[in-house]
Amino acid sequence: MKICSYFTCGFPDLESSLKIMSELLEFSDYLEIGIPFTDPIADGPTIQFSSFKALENGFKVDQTFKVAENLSKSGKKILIMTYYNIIFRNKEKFLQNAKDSGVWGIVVPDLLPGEDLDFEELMSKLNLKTVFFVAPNTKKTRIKFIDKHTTGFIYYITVKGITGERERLPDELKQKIKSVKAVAKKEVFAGFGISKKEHIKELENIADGVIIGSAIIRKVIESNNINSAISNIRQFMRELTQ
Amino acid sequence: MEEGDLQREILCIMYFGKFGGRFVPETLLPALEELERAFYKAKKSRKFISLWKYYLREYAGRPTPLYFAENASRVLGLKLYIKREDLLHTGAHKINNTIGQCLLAKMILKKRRIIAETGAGQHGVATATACALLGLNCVVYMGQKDVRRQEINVLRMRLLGAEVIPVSSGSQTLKDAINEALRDWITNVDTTHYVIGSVVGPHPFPQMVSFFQSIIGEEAKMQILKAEGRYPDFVVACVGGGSNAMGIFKAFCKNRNVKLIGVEAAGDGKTHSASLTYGMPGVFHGTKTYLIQDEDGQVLPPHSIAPGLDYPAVGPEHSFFNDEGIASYYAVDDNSAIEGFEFLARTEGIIPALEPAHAMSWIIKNSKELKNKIVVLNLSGRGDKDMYIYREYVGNFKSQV
Repeated sequence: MKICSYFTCGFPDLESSLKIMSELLEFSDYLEIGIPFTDPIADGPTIQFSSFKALENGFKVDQTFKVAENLSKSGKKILIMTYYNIIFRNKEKFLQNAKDSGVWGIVVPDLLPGEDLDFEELMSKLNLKTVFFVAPNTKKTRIKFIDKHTTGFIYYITVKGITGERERLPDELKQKIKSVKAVAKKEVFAGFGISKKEHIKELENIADGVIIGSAIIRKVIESNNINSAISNIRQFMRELTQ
Repeated sequence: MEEGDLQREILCIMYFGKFGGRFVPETLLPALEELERAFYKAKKSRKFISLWKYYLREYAGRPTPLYFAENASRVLGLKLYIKREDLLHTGAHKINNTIGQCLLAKMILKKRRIIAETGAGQHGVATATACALLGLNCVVYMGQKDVRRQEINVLRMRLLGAEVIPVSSGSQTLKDAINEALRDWITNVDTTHYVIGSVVGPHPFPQMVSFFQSIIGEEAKMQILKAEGRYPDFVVACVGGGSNAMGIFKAFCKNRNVKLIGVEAAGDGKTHSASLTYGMPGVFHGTKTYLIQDEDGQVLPPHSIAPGLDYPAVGPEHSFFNDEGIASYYAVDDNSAIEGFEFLARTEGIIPALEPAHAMSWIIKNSKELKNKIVVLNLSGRGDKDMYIYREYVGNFKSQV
């Protein structure tokens, strides 16, 4: 089971976010660097909070690429996650910068496959991987279409809803992921709501990977300072991945 | 046909030139596709259209008059006709759309839970009203700041049976209310219809809201032809998201002799809501359109004295009209809007909402160029709601003098 962790760049400040992400890399196969956006419609309160805090503290998009460059030295797969307007603003430059800083793939929660073919062409020219989503209500015929447009992995959204921790995963989740895997050629990672060891165990041998975001950010929100944040994250990730 | 070609063809239907589209999380796609089918079905259904028109006529008060403003015309040296959307039930054009969408939710989508966003409360009240009329459950998202500023509208919505949920994230205003409504919709997509209040958002909303508002222009066209025996020279409307403007433009946009003028809010000189005049193309609330943003693509907080114009983006079809030169867009500031507000009150005894007061002000400013021309002003709403703002403005002004 592959672990993909998510963290918001610039939260609580740029330097701390780099330290936290370096720590997360120890426990992860993939790392998603979240670029804060003023209007994150797919995110729940935790990631919203981290995004607004980072922006308040003066976060700039270009800082992401320095962070990515630093993290990609680890040899692990680095992704950028952000809303489409951030990319659209300077599309070619953004993607070139991402490539130059060693980024492997880009996740855009408000971009459907096929909506911007120009983006997909640029991505493929730069050999950057696309990650598109499948939701619980996505039709079977569409899964094939999504799979075709995906060059990285498929991000399976475990619940109809926004990001954030959940006590339990939906009962039908395993069956749903199996049915996606039956159709799709690409790997399938499950995300949204994954916050516990039990969740990961439940999906063992079913999903190819899991994505953990809000639960990590909450650890930071609950910590008094950066050192305790890092040790809390270390403990949390160790328990999760053991 | 190649798959790529087919995909390009599908995109054509959802776009106005390069603007529009569907920039939403995957979870919303089934709902948008369902809505698109329902809307096309409704448009063709005689039963649906006649019921919608029945409510607009018997309940909301359509057709609204196209009033020849004799006094204002004399003062300005032109022929001013005013499309009186302010006389509609709930005091603005918003009800055309909310009755349309709520009826669609009930009759075709078979969904009984309605959500809506509201800034100042006009669209929220119009949605709560349509829901009360049609027996639907209504939840309205409203920025925390707006909840405090617009207490009376919150009370009106609650009185009409709606649940009002204050939104405390982000800038706590209209755009955050839309964000939160979208999050609700993503979560409750199977049971819920989202009644967007303007020609914004992902496809098919801009087309659908424009359809429900285009009744304004259809009436105005017949009325002006009857009164003048010809088309007007100018049609002027305010633009926030742009639903009242699109509603009246649609009937006239094929006639190149009619100049279409959209008036945006230039705000207080520091901050504004003029996305077409000062913004850049971007992607926001599910659509590609002009947007007020910084060099990183972060959305900047808008400002206008007219709460209904206080939105950082604009409907994608307006972006298309702007780039193609089908309509022209100008920005008018807060002070000028107040002049338009007072002018119409004193010359005609009509207190306009502060939103169309921007359009009135543009006409006053350009009256020399408009001399002897026939000008139609879309008076999208009445100004009772703005008396608090006016009182504050007059108070501030007096204290400065």
